[in-house]
Amino acid sequence: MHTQPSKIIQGIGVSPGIIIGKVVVIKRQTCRPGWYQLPPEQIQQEVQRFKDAVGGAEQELLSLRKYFTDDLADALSIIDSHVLILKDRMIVEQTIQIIEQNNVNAEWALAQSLSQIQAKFDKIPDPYIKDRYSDVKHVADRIYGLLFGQDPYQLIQGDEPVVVVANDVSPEDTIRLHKENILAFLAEKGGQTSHTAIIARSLNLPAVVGLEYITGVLQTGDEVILNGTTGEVVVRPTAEQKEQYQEYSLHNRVRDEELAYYTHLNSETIDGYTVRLSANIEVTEELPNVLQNGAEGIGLFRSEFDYFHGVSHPCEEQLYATYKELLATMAPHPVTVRTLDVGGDKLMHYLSQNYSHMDDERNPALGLRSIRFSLYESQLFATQLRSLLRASVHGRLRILLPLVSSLNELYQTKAILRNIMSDLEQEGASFTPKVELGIMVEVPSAVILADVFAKEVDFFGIGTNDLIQYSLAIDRNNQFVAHMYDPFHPAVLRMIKHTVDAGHAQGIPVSVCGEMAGDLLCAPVLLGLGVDELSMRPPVLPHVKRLLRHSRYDQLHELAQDVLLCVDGRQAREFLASYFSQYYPREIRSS
Amino acid sequence: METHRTILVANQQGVHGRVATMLAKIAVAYDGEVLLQYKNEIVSCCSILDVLSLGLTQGSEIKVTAHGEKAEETLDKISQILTSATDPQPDN
Repeated sequence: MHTQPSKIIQGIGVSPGIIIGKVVVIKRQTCRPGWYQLPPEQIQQEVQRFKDAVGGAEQELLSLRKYFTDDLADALSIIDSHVLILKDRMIVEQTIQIIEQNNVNAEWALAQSLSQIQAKFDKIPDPYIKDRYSDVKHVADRIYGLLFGQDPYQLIQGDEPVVVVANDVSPEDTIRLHKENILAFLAEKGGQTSHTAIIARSLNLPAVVGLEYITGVLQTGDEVILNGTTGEVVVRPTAEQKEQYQEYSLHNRVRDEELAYYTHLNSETIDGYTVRLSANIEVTEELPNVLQNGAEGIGLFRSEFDYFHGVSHPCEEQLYATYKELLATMAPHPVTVRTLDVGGDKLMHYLSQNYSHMDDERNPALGLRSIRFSLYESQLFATQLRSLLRASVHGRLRILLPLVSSLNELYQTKAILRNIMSDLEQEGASFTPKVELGIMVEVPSAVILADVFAKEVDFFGIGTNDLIQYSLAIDRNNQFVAHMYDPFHPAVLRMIKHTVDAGHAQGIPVSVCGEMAGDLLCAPVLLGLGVDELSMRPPVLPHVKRLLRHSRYDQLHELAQDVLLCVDGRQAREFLASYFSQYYPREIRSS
Repeated sequence: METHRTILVANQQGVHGRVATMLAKIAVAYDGEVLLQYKNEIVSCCSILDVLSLGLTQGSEIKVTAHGEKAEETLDKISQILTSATDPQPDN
């Protein structure tokens, strides 16, 4: 029996699946090398032991390489660089020299070589190149594993499949784990768009990452329940919780079967009112999932991934390839690409200008980011727009500009687009001249000027997450005020209504692509306010479609009017809960 | 034979993982020796760690020297990688 209590930890679900199982905790620090002296006659033997470990690690890398097809050039390049690091003179020759000169064991000698390498890397000013030391550590860990005669992952030898818990799981570990008797993995580091996450999804290996201190919280043999979609991890569940989850899991299966029925039906109400249900995604790897869930387009493609990931910087060709794949796969449905939505502090390593001082920005949410940053780094922006325009012939493209707060930003962007178009024309490159251009409505000034903006753009995308944050002046990550973040705040609902009405007055469609769009209580209200398109995470699509197909538009419209009169979120939620238990009991209960 | 060239690093991201990998691959495959000199430091291009630790960013001026057969050809390959502003695709 465990004396430690059960608890629930929230991480980032990166690869779906609900798993109950025992964990194996892998701690890299168990490999810390000791020091011992060797008699001279054993030195050559020790050198050979080290060479064997390096050779073994190389064989492993080469065999993992076969797991990747040629189209995964980034992954292949990572493995190739690991092979070169492994055989580097600073690792091999240096370590052998230390063994021979000091009559010491290989582990200790390798540790000395590593600290010399680290000292060199510490002096590199460029943070991106400096960060490659993490690759050196990954490689050294493999050599250590073989020197100790134990693979950290060989702990996983029982017949019973287990959940692996580790500090950091590399893309290579993920492939390796996939071959073992593994149910899922939990990691302290990583995020939705890491290479590890992408590989886990493509191998259908459920995973939750971003779980701080999890290797300290769990011990090998502990039981966990994890949900790779929601990111919830129940540590040492009680019998009751396990039963609940098993029931939930069964219930989910039954529901998923039922939901599958909806995925290819039209998204319309009983009385024939049609809306577009589309998907929010970050990487093209999600496209199969998007189609599987019956999305009628991409309502929000977050284009940041190409800028953050891969050892490669996004040149025009790389971006073009991404956008072409998106558009061609989704055609004839529209694909809405949001242009770069970050501040310069996140992209330091690409830019000649140093933005590291932006760490000190007192109000990053109000700083140089999104469209402001793009207009400031106009060359970077032009490259993105150029690749978008070139890709536009492969499907239906909509370009969405984030954080627009004044008309001037829109005019400047249009001027850049005109220049690129005339360049492309001169080069004889093909593009869609009337490509749709829209703005994110997420700053109160854009709401107030919605009637003016509506005359200048082809569509509106309401970004509710930021709109709520900026209009209520609430930082959701601040624990003291987070509870005041309220999608049903009457001011928020009125702003949405105002934006929809202003858009419709000019005959342009209005979509919502924040979290509200995929919330089963919010979605009906948004539809009742006249929103034309809801864009959400792909797995939520069938839920919303089922709700829609059981609704009548006149009722949704009435419902929205009633919710607009509620004084706060609590009242609105209570009202909606009672309304739905009356009209659509199944839709709400099973959410 | 020995030949050398002075090259300005054009890659926007500098000589990072992928570029260093390609440089080291060429040097390892080459029968002779390829050296990179940046400021006062001279390193062998065969060592990916040495190449990375030079910390070459866009605009760094380096001297590349090749000793051995087909030195010119090797320098051509290396300077092509270093002078393209964007990442060339690796040939796998």
